[in-house]
Amino acid sequence: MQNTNQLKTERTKYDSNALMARKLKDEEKIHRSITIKKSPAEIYTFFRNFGNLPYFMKDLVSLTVHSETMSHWVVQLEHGPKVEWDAEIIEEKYAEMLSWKTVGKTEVQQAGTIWFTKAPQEYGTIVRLHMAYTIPAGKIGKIATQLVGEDPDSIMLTNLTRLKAYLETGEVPTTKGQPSGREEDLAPEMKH
Amino acid sequence: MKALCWFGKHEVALRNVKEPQILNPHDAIVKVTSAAICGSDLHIYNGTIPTMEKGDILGHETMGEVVAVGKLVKKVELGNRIVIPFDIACGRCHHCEIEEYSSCDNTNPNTYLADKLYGHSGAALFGYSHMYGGYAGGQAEYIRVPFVDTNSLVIPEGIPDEKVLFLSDILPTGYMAAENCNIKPGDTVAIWGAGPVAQMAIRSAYMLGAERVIAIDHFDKRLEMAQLSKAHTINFENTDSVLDELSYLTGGRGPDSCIDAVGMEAHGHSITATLDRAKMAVGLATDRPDALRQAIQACKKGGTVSIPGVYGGVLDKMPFGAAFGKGLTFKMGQTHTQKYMPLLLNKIIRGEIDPSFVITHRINLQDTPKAYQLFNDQKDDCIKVVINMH
Repeated sequence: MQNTNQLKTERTKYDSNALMARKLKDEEKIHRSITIKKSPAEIYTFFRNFGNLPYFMKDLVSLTVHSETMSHWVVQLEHGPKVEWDAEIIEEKYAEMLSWKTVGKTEVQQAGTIWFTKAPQEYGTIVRLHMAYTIPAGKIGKIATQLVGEDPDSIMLTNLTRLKAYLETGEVPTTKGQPSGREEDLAPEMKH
Repeated sequence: MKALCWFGKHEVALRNVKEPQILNPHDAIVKVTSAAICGSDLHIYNGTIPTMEKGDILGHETMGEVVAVGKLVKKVELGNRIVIPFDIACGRCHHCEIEEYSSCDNTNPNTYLADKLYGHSGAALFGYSHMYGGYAGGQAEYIRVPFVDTNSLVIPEGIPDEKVLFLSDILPTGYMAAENCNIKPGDTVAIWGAGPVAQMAIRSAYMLGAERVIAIDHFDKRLEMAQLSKAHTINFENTDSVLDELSYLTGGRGPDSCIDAVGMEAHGHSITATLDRAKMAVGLATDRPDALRQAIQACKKGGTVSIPGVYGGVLDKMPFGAAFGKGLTFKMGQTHTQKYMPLLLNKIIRGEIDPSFVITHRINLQDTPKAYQLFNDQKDDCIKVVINMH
């Protein structure tokens, strides 16, 4: 019964997000979830301290916290443009959830909620992310970005995967900077 | 440093590349002393593994000396001599905790590729395509090893490289393949392929209590080696029907378990095998599963088919009706190497197995491109190549 109520509440919350997002023109939606072997409180506390986000968020160049609820985000896509936005936290519950939306003028309007709920057995916590967003057609074409995994859905899924790796192991896996036989990676005396 | 790099189908070459650096706090850098060429490297050599990129450094059977460690490495120390498992595990996620290391959640930076192709990503592997993480491999003078406390087995003084190098892959792979057969006393185990993994599987099956192991191949040298391990052998080129022969040898019941130690590039001569080759050539299929088809057909009712042979993509004409009709159990997957390494090191130390018996060629790094060709063309009775690095 409690679970049903909880689900209902979450559904309502998502609907209110969707409502907000509906005001965005041609909005897209993201529904993604991941299981992380930490408690809801640990993950919430880590996530709520925005100073931690650059440790795992892909392409996040800078994140400036202006107040308890306001922050400014700058993202430079690997194969795409630089985008910026101001975000406001509009609702939060300790160890349970966090909702935000963009405020003011930005090319990437968005609204989202992240929930942290205890997973069955010893799996840890299920982290669920719902987002609605708009992307400017000319600047980041949807098909083009999907091809290189840089559409918002792929980016957020990658970010959840990286959040899990960082929290479970203390590092985000990488091969950037490793050797290879590609021209740009050859030893200096071999370049021509 | 010198490293063996992949540049395309049948194109591998040495390049002088930058030395690896510590990139993450649980990394180590290892000065490679010995590495081997694996049969599964030949899948890459033949261009059947997707998401390879020109310039990728190959090699996943590696050992050497630790020359640098990241600041959060706790167990492994500078100067340790370690064997490096081919799969890269974090040691902390749910799967690692239950010793399913090759299903690790956290080591593949390119999970989105594997998620799309396989539904979920497994552990990253050394030198085995970008879908499996794109990590530089160990056929090089140095290698970076992530999460080295999990991805290493420290070797005691006095044991030569050749005795322990295969703890990195083929010995645990052959052992897990045999363990997956759930062998009971009196069992007959049939193994397709008599390559290095199969050779390890033959000895492992006997260690786990099999009464008889039957090895099936068409290379005489491999079959001779299998006979030295007390296997009964079938040369499929000299046999009218492998299935009839297996049925005859098991009193009509079929082998209790069947191991496909061949994988995606079976060299069968059946009609389906010929069709497979034609379909792969025009891109209609990715793998040639003829050994697997036979294993399913041969296996006894209620038996187990264990698959250490590597598959990469979509299989055609699988006799799933036979598998269903006989109620077969399938066990497969990348080896949870870290789980088996300590156990098998003890068996090596106690003299129960010396896996170096499979080595037929010892070379230096300079000769590695030639050795790939030799191994792939099955010339000079080549079964297993070891590269002495330093």
